[in-house]
Amino acid sequence: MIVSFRCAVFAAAACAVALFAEGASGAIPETSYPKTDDFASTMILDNGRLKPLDSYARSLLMQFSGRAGIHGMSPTLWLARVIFLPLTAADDKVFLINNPEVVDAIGVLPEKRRRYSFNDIKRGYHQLTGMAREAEAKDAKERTLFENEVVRVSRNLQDYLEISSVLMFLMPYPEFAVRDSASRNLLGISPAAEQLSFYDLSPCFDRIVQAAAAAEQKDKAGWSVFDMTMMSLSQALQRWRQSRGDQPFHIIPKIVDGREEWLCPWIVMLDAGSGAQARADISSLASMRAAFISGDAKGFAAAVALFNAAVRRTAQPPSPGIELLYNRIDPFAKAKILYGLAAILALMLVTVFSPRWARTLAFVLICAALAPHTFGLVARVIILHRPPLATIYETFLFVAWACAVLGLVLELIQRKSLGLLISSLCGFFFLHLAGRYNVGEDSMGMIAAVLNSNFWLTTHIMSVTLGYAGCCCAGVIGHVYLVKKLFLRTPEERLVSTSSALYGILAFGLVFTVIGTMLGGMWADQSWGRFWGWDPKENGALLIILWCAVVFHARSAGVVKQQGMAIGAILSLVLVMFAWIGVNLLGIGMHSYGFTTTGVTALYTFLIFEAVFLAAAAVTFFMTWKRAV
Amino acid sequence: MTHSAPKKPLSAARIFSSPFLSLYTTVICLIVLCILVLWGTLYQIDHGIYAAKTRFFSSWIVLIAGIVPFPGVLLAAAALILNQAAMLVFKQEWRPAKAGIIITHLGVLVLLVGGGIVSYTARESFLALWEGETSNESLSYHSWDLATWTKTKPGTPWAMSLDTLRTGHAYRSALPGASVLVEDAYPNCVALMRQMPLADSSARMPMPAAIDSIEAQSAASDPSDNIPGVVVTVSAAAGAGTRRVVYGGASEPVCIPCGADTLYCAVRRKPVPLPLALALIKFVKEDYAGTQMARQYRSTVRAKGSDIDREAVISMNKPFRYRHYTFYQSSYSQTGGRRSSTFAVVENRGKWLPYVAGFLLAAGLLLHFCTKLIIHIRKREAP
Repeated sequence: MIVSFRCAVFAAAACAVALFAEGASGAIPETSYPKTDDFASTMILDNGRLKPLDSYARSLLMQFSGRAGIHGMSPTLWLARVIFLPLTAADDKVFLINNPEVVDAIGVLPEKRRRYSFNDIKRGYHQLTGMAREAEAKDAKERTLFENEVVRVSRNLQDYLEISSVLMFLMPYPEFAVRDSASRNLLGISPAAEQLSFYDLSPCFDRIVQAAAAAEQKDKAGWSVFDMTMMSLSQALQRWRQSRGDQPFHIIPKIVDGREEWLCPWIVMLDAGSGAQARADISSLASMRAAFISGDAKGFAAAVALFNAAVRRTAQPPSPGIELLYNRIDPFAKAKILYGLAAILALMLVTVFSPRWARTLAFVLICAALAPHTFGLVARVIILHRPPLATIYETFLFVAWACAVLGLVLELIQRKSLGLLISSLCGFFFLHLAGRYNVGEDSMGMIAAVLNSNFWLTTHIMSVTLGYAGCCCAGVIGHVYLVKKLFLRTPEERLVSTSSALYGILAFGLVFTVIGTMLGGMWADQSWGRFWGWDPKENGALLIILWCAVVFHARSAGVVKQQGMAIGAILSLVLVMFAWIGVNLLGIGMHSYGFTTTGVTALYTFLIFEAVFLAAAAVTFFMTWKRAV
Repeated sequence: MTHSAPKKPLSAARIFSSPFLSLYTTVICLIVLCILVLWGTLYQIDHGIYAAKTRFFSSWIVLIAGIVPFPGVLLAAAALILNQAAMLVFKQEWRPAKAGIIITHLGVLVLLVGGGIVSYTARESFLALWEGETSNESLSYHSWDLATWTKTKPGTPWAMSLDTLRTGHAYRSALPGASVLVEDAYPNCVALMRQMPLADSSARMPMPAAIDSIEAQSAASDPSDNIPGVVVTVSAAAGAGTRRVVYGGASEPVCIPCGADTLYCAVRRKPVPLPLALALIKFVKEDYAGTQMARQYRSTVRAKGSDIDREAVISMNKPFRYRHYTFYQSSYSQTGGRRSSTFAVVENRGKWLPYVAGFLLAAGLLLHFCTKLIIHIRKREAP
């Protein structure tokens, strides 16, 4: 694979010239775009994985705007506009700028939704890139929030320019204007076309070069319009051809030395003279573009079908069906809404009232939430060929699911609505938290080589996360116990079932955290040569185990009773959050693939909440005790 | 997890173990361990993992603010071992219903004792090989030697561990009659080039001929990053001594003409002999398609020893084991078309202990959990 940044820079610059042109705006009306369903299923190699264009468009949109949709149009339609009609797409408000200081610094009028179009930002572009260069010169740890935002927005703009220039060679360009009839006759161009594209002229490349060479032999003063046109075209074509290099849109497969490689259209365009298939691929893309901008739905569908058929003749990409379904359903968002509704009902059931219909409805809502949730996890297994446990985002998805199932099992055993509360609250909370970790990057990206083991991912991480799920559920029960006991003054004898649920689920958490930690030690022994290295991630799991052991042994010794167990369970939840989210923020240790800066606010908010809750519980307990005395 | 038991007659062993025959002791030990693990983890942020290991995880006593003693992990773990052993022997009811709890606590004992054995006996080193290169010794991460050899007998170096060298003392060398007087020794230092200090410590590139002096540095947070150096005076049987700087980061040895022969001096990582010779046949870095991010590192090696002669593949998560030695894929480098692979080498005679402990713990906890769950459900279903 040719890896050069020259092309990217050149093409981006070419695109930038067009995009930066004053008054640039969409010449095509925004109505009657062809349907992009088939185009969405076209495969692309991105981030180490073959995926449908729909997923690619979503991850780009997520990177630029923090959302997977825009203006009610599908992500694929947005991408099609960016690559086929970059001038029109330049008005789409896709760039999220969180920091208002950055907006001020680049002289852009603030938008309520904090999202800006390329045309909004382009006047401050040079200022922005200048500031980004200065910020990038600094060590990442020393950058301010402002500088981090500048770097992020600047990189997004660069990526956008690269994407919008992948088919620049199909677009008419001022450099390729042919106005005199002699040149038109030589090149066989219709009189209607004034500006031509690189693609239009490339079949005539040899003729143009020969004509330019002949002109060069002449005295410059005696050059005709034809000679000047040929010289100008020859120089422009040569300059474009010399900018050969890789671009981020690998949609055309090619077998090189028996290996399947996926190339960007520009590389294939330059090689088009060497193969019929390459010419056919580029021709399909040109037809696709022509049909798209003219709103010819049938022509567009035919060109896409032709292109996809050619791709499948050359390579064997996976079927995009399940991934397209996953994208269309957006299973975790659906599940989150259902868990949220169930959580409202369950909170009322546990504290205020408990009619049978409400319990049944909450149960049905949770089951309904589990359906897309389970589908989402299974789909990720099928798409990624690995368990969905390799990133912190995926562990949130899995723990949410495990908590929901644990809660349902508890509900089936106890039938006191406590299980419904656990299922719905944990399901909602962890899916919401997962969403915070899914901003700005592809959630189905590559994993580090050390993690590339399905056996250990399945056994170690699944066990540990099941342990986390158990401790989290126990923590929720601990809260319920203290609320009922201290704030709602429920008699002790009516809290026996809550207490026994807490005991059982905390024990479940301990069992699986121990199993997961031991398996983790074995994996570390296989990968790094030592069972235990006092790494922060390992210590986090050990802390949970030690603390749970403290709680159980203290109970056996009679040091703590039900209320002490509840407080212990809440503290185990705090330790789980430290081991799960907090350790990744430390940025030290061997588990470097998990380092992140996301989650700081969530963690601090959680810690403050727990501190306030326990303080309020302590005050209430003290006042109750004083009254009793 | 209860430990209730009928009273047993007093014995010397029981009296001796009485301080440990209490669940309060268990709880205190566990709380102390919790504090140490949390403190040691946060301590790593500013001081690194090695300092945290030394202060908390491999120590008997931790001094708070340099004055107040607090138990270290070793002391807390030792107390926990005694407590668990005493409880199992004297207090635990040995009946089938308690099988889970007994197996779990046996697992804890095996884990703690095994962890102690492994941490005191396991030896770690590394082996870096270029494609086509063979070696039967690895190099220590932390220990360094001052080695001398002669031009006439290059294969028989005379090595002294830097840990044992004392300044102001003269030591024998590989050249009969020539002694090496150690004037200064620095556990971590940078080389100074013609009185000009290097720009930074990362610029400790091998520049043998121009090293003029060395300057002491504070110890690195990871001891394997230390590069030591010594200043020596080599005196032959007849003639004045020759003063030289020998720096661990130099790629070439210091050569000192001594009469008809030449003495070579170098500070180098301590070699660790291996029971087999390992040759690197091929190293491959497999990338994710269309990227330069590694999906897998794979080294094909040939292992040759007294009872082995075969090819093996060492990759991430798939080490090569031979007797008590295990070779792990650790790192790689590529220079000018040549590829080298670095293996972490661990000699560990108790490597199976954590696996046994892990199995006992998992089996015991699952058994106990399931037993309790069944009892609970039966109680609920009982009229």
